Amino acid sequence: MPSSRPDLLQGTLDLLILKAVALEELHGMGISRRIRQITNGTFEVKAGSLFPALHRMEEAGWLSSAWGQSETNRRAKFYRLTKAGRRQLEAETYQWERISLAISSALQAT
Amino acid sequence: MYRFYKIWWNILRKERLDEELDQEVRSYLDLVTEDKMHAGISREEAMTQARREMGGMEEVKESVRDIRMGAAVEACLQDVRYGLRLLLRNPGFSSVAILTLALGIGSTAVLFSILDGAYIHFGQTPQANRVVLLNQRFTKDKSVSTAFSAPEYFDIARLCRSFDGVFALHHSNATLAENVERPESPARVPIVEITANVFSLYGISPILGRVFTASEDRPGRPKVAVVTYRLWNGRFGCNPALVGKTIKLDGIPYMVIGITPRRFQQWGADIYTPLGLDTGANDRANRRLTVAGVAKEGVSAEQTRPELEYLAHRVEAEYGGAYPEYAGLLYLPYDVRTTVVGDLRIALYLLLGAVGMLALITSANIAALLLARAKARAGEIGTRLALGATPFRLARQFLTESVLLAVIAGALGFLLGMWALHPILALIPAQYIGEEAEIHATAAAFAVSISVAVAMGVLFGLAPALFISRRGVAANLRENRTRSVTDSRAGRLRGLLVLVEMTLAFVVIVSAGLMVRTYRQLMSMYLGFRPDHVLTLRIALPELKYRGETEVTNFFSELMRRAEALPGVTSVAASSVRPMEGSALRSFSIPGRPQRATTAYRVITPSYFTTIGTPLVAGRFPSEQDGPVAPNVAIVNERFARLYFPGQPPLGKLVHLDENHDLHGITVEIVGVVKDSRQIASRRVQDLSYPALPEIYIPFRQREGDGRDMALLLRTRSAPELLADPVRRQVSAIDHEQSLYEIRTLRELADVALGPTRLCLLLLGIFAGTALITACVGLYAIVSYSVAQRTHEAGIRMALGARPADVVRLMTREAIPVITAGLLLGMGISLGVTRLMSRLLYGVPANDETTLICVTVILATTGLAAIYIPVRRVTRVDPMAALRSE
Repeated sequence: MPSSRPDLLQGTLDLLILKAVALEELHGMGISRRIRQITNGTFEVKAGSLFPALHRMEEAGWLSSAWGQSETNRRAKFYRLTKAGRRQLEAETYQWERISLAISSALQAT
Repeated sequence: MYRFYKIWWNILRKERLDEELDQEVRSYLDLVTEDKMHAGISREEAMTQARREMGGMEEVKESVRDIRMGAAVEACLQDVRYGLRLLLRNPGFSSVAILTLALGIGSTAVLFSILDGAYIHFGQTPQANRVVLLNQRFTKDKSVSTAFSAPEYFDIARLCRSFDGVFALHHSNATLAENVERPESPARVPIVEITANVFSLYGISPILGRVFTASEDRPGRPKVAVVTYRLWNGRFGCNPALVGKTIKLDGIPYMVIGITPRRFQQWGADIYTPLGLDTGANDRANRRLTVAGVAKEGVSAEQTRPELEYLAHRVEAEYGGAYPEYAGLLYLPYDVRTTVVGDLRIALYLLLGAVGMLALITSANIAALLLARAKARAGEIGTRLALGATPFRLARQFLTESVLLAVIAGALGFLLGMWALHPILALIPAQYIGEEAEIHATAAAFAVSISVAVAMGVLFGLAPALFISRRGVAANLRENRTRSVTDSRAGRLRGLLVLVEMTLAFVVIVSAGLMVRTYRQLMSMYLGFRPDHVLTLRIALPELKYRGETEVTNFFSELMRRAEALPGVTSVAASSVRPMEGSALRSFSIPGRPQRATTAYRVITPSYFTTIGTPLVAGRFPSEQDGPVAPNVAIVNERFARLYFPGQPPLGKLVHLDENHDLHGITVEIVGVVKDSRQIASRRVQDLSYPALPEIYIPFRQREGDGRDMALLLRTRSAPELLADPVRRQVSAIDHEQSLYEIRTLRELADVALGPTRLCLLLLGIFAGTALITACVGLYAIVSYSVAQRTHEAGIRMALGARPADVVRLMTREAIPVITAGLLLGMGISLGVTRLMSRLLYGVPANDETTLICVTVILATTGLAAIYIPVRRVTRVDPMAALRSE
């Protein structure tokens, strides 16, 4: 996992988490599973990175959390996107697209 | 705001948050386990895998806690709690460290308060801090005088552009009676006649009524008076009805038109009246005015000098012919704050320097102690590093601990300082601090104490913090196990600290030593009179009651007759001005010579010189025969004779003295010459090295008109203070309405110049003592620590046949060069520092060898003792015991 490259991870991880909870509210395990799915297994987010990120983003006001029941009837904490979080997702998506476009064109240049 | 709230929320709700976090992480673990079981793995295997994937549960929680808002604050609080526990666990170390620090910080707070109140924020308006007092220097006789004549003042006021304005004033005293019909309990108050522009120049407006205007400040002026807050409060109980009332000054009615604000007490006045200068005045030799200006904004006193010099040249060019004293005339600007504070300012800076050095010594000492403790805590530190604490985190903890120590000491020091402020202020003669100065504990002083404390905390916390964080885990852990390791880096750091301590202690102790020598010189200095066993007091007879010269003479003759009869009194005299009281100046000329000059002038009774103990050099003392009908005679001092009759016998020479207001004056014949005596004009120790002023003494009975306000001097057999009450009773027996004022012993008057010296001596003495003890304790602690570490080694050497002397040599090899270097460095720095304090020294050169040698011997001896004691203990130890001490 890219934990050895925290600068890249920070921005990427935030974006992935925001994207993961954009559709529906999820608990921590659900988020990590969703990220695995949507990245086709490229990113595997471990608890040690996931929880600090979730709490940080909640303090930043992008996520809100509430206790609820999991699909297997376990008590779990669910995270959902706030308005500010949705704005952040848009901003980061735009930012990411710009960067990825730029990097791709840079790599294609001869 | 939200963030702030959130931080506190996080800290206060920590328990609840932690519990939630715990539940969340557990549920995550369960969910992952379930997920894996769905994939067909056994329950145990799934749980193991889930745990392995997650890493440590506590680590996850810790990393969440770290990113929480306020995590830093919380870690800090944790450090503080931990630090406090450590401090409480070592009460000995903590109390020594806190007390030495508190002493340093407390003294800083006191000195800062005095400096701030008396100097930095001396005036209450910005203009008051820009007041420049003018002096003129007549190059011919090198005399510097603050006295100007009216035409000289008008020149400066008209032509000088460096000032917002220039004003003139004249000091006098008057008997104040507020009830015009019946003078009740009259008091003697200082009066300042002053030009009307002074109030607007200072930027102050009266709190009641109005101040006088330029149109009231003319010759033939109306009798109006502005009363200061001090007098209004002290004498009139702040009664607003005073404005518009009439008071009497020396029997002359004046109308009170206004009251000045509380801190406007400039020039020591209780009452201001218009000066009423005549713009047409043209006698330049009648110098009795004090002249000062308010410099333009951003212009310092020094910056007005060139213009004043130019002005003086113009005056010299224009009037030099008629007034030969103008040859080489200079006008000199003085920042009025320095003249008010005088030597005290230098003394305060010196003491601040001493405090700073003491602070550094203390810091070095505590750094050394903390370093030793850090080494003792090496095991703890090694363990924490091994468990993943970052060096930064540990360094922060060390700094928190030392700053905590320092801040506790800072708060304590501030309290101590404010408690000691008044006793210390009492050491400073009142004349050194302007009455307008307000000296008390201020927020600024508190801020200074705490910032000094924090700075010191960082300073001495840095050494162990750096030391620890630079060493690896292994070194720290090893340190815990073996004690015979000699760590060269710690050794160098310790050596450096000892060097700093020795050097600084040297400087502080040398400064204190020089003050001790100065004080002894001042105490044994020949003043030209004998100040012990003389009581002095002043009596001013109101003109209303004592109209003629006969009444005045009769009063004083009767009083002196009664005073002489008092038990314990050996002789009684009266004079218009007391020794060391400043001088009344009088201009005079010598018949046959065109120029006029100024001399100090005193009216005295025949027994004056025998009472104060000034010896006669030639001729005779005044006698009872020098009465109104006898020829007018005068006594002069040696300086007068040398200056005006160089190479001639002064006896029999004539001097024409000008009258104060008209110019008739009298001609007197010199019949006696007395020895010069010391006069302290502006409260500077340096003044004592200047030659005495020329002085002339006129018999009282030939000048009763000048003798309405006289000082009585009584030489006594026992303590002079005891005679104050008997004299008061004798005065009221003659006239029960008559008051006395300024009752002082002559010693007190003479001691005014000793004020800053005494303050310096006392405080420097305390600092020097503390510095010496602190430096020696530090030295002892450091040496004995390194010696104790090598006990084992010493044991082996002695078991192998080394003699005790060899062991001593081995043990001291490290310390002796450091001490020697400290002494040499200290001596070098002292030579530089003491030059700065030379203005405070009298009769002692700044590089006084005796002091330097004494201090070297004292420090070397204590340093060697600090080494010898621990080393001797090691050599006495049984080799077997030493070996077993592992």
